[in-house]
Amino acid sequence: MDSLHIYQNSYTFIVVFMFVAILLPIVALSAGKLLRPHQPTKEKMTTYESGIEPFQDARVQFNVRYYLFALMFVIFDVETVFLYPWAVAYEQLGIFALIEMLIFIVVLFLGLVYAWKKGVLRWR
Amino acid sequence: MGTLSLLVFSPFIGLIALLLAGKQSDNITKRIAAFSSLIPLILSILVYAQYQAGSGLSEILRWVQFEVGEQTLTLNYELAVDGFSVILILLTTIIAVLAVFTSSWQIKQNSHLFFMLMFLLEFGILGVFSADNLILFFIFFEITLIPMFFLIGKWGGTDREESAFSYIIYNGLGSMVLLIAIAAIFVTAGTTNFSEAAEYFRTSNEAGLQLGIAIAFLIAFGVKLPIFPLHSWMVKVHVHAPPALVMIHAGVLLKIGAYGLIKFGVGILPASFTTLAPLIAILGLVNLLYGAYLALVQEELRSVLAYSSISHMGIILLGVAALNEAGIQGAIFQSVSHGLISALFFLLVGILLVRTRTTNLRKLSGLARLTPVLAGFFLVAALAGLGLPGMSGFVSEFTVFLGIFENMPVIGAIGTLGIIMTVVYMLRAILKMTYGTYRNMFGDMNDLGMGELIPATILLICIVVIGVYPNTIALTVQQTLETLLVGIGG
Amino acid sequence: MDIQTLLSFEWGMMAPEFTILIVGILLSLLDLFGKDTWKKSLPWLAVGGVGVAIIFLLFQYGHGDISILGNTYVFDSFAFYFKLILLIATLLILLMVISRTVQQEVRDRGEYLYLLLAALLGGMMVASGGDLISLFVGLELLSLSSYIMVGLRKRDVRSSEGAMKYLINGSIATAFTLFGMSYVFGLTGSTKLVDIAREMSGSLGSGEPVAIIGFIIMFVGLAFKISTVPFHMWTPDVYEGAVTPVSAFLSVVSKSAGFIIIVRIFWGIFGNATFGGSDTLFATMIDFIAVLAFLTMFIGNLVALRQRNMKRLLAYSSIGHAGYILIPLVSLTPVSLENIWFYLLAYAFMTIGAFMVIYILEQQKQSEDISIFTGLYRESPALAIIMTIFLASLAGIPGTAGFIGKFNIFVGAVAADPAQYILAGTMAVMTVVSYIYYFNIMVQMYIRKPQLEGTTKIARLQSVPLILCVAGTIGLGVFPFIALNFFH
Repeated sequence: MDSLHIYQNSYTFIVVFMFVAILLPIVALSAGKLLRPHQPTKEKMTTYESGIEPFQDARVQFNVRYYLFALMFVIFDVETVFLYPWAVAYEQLGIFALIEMLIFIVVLFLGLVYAWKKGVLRWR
Repeated sequence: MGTLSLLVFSPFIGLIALLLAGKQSDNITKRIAAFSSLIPLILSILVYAQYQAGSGLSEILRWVQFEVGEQTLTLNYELAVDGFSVILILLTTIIAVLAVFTSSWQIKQNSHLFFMLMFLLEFGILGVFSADNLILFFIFFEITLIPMFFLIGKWGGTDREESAFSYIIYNGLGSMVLLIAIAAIFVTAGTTNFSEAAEYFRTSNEAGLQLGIAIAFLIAFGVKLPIFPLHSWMVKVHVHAPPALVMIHAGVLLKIGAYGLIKFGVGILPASFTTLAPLIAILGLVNLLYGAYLALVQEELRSVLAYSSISHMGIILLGVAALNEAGIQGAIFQSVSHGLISALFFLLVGILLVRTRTTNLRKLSGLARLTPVLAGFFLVAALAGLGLPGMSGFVSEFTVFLGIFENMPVIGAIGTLGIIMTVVYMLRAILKMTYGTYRNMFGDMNDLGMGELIPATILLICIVVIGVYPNTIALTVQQTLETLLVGIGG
Repeated sequence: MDIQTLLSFEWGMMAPEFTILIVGILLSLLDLFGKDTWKKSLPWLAVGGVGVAIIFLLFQYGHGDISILGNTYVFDSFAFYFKLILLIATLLILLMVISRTVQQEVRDRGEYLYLLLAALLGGMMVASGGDLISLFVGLELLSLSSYIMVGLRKRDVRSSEGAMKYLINGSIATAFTLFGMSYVFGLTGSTKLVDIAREMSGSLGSGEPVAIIGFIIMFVGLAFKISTVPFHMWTPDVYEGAVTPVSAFLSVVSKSAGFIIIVRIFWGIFGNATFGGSDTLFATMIDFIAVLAFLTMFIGNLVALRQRNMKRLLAYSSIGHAGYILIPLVSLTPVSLENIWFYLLAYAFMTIGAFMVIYILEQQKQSEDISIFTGLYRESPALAIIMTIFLASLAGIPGTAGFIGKFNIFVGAVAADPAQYILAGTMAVMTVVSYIYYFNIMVQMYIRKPQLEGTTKIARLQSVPLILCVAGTIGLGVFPFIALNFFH
């Protein structure tokens, strides 16, 4: 069960990283608070918007269609991510991978057709 | 299909006839019901005759098989009767016919559905007494639950739904305990056939398990009988159910408890029941005295009868606890005798209710002046109930006490107190009702008509015949009794 | 993997799955491009597809064990029998969908159908999965389709609420399952059930605690699917929010799939793992499952007493039934698998039947309250009697399938070593508790008078699933040996 010890030991790194990750912002922010001068004026308290004066409420409603587009984008993004390594390693993978990839693309294509017919691609 | 299967399924003739006839006028429905209720009676007489002639009635059909490891567990559809069950079958069909006849003038609404449920109930009861293995017994036992629930809940008195639920909860619990016990027997003995299971437990030495099963039986049948702390549902049913149904309920259904205790308890697990005998005797004593005491203070005739039933069931328990020939014979006698007497009582209660709509003793005071014949029948029934010599009640109580004095004289001595109290409460209730001061609350009332006189007379004749010539039953159950005694070792 | 090995697999064994897949895709395409006049007959295509799949499956009866694609797809008798339940149940539910009379209920009718088929496909993959990955993918296909199906009534608040709750709870459950699987993978270095079982049959040594954590976490994740207490909270809301056929689907198919994957993983992996030198790991963890079973029976049945909405009532009753089915899982006798199978089959018939009756009444009376049953015997004696049969079966009254199922479980529990008397006793008591709410419905039907005089009619299409369910319930109750012999 040596492999198990290695397996369990590798969690030590994670624990160390977790502590560092928690401590770093706490230390940085509290140190900054202690060191910097604190002189608030009215102008300084307003929301920072790249130098422009803030003109509306921070909560803005986006059109729900953005989400649909975003979802569509993610799907095809993942497809590309999946296709590249396959294309590079095609020589080794052989015919089986080709069939699998074809199935994958057909499924995605069906999804695209569905979205298209349901009017997702049209901005109304 | 043998005679026995034919008998068990014969109530379906009435059920299907009613179903096919559809919603006819009340008269036609009642006529169909009355005629088809005679079919099971005729068949049961046939079965009785065949049993007396000694011809084999048992039937067997393969049903389900389980394979647990190397063990193969088989469940069959098997029917058989012995002396005890053949008498109870006869009792069932007689009372069922009378109940159907009497209900035809008591049930005003939905008589169509009422009779169909009655036939379903009869089917269940006949199955219970004909089953030759525990599973089949249990199946029929559960089938009686549903029609009873609806019959109480739909046609009962004021608290009908509550009574129906209390019935289903108590009896459901009882039957679930029974089911676990049956499963335990099934797994250990590999069979649920009565005689095979008895054979197995005679040689096996799992005393703890046997005792557990015996206690489960005591609880399961104790609910049905009922035994003291489990009795509240039964009082409700007695008071709130329609009287025609209580004829069957008190007359036959309660006897399933006695039947189960004697046939399974004593029959399959004699050793454990010998261990439990003192407990059963004490429970019986409590039942006897508690029932009698409460019957003494009731103001409702139906409550008096309910507690009197509890008291009488105590006598059955005493008989079982005696575990000797006289005791068990007495318990069997008491089952039949109490069945007939309570059926007669509730037949009369039904007749009374149609006329007065109440069974309050105070309101009914002076009934003899209005309806002398009805009052006379009440008195005779009460005399039978308190065990007047020459009637069936005497024979059974006498034999039970003969048995119990042989083994447990102290308990027997205390038990006689209960008998005295029985006399007191019976006479108090009936005399108060029939000969009290006349109040003239109901105006004119007809006395018994022909249709009411005949059923009452039939029951009375049965009671007297058993009382005068007990051998009618004794000879039939002789063989069964001997088999049981071999198990006990007496 | 070259083309020769690929072709050497017996792809024919996957015919039922392929049928469902092809019909599902065909349905989606026809729904998108077909004419409106065709769309009326789409449900029949789905029914036909499931029917053909059943026929394909039946041809495989008695076929030897087969594995395809390096044990990711296995065909064995276990897969065969449980797939049959899934297919039959889905067929009944599709018939239920067809029978509806109110058309406005769900707009997107096409999705309804092929999501059902997709979920079914997921369930079948679970039944045949021989690899943690393929089991998981099958389960997710089932779950994701179910989430959408629950939310199909877009304009209904309860539907959206149910779908949201189901999605969130389901995702948490999925995370749990995966987390547990990762432990098992970490311990054995494989996702194939065969390899895992082989690795685990040796001594686990210091890996024992890891294996136990994996066991518990994975069981918790899967317990969501079969809705055992305390992971049952979503069930009533989801059942209430979903369209009735979907509730029936979740209650029967989804739950069966949950039991299938539990049996497959836990008996397959942990049933072989030795623990502490003597017992199997599964045997030592029995108490954990026993406690869950106890709580599930107890809380499911008790809470059901207070329900007035019929679908919520059936949801709690289905929780109670899940508790009953956990008992054979704990008892570990040779008949356990048979008991689970028989109970699930009986449960499919009686539950779908009960949902069907509710569905008919719900469409006519626009309500799901228990009062839809008030005076039903006078309005429609046939429907009242049919409902009585289903209720009797759910309550376990003899003569119905439910009784045989319960009796089998009792026998199994008592025959087990050590005998599970406490669980059997709990089941007995809870059965009596369930009498109260089942009989309460009967009181409504027979004893109470209807509020409005009127008749309830059963349309011809509605009678088809009803008759099939009644036949199944009574048939399995009177002739249980037909099913039991078939199983051997």
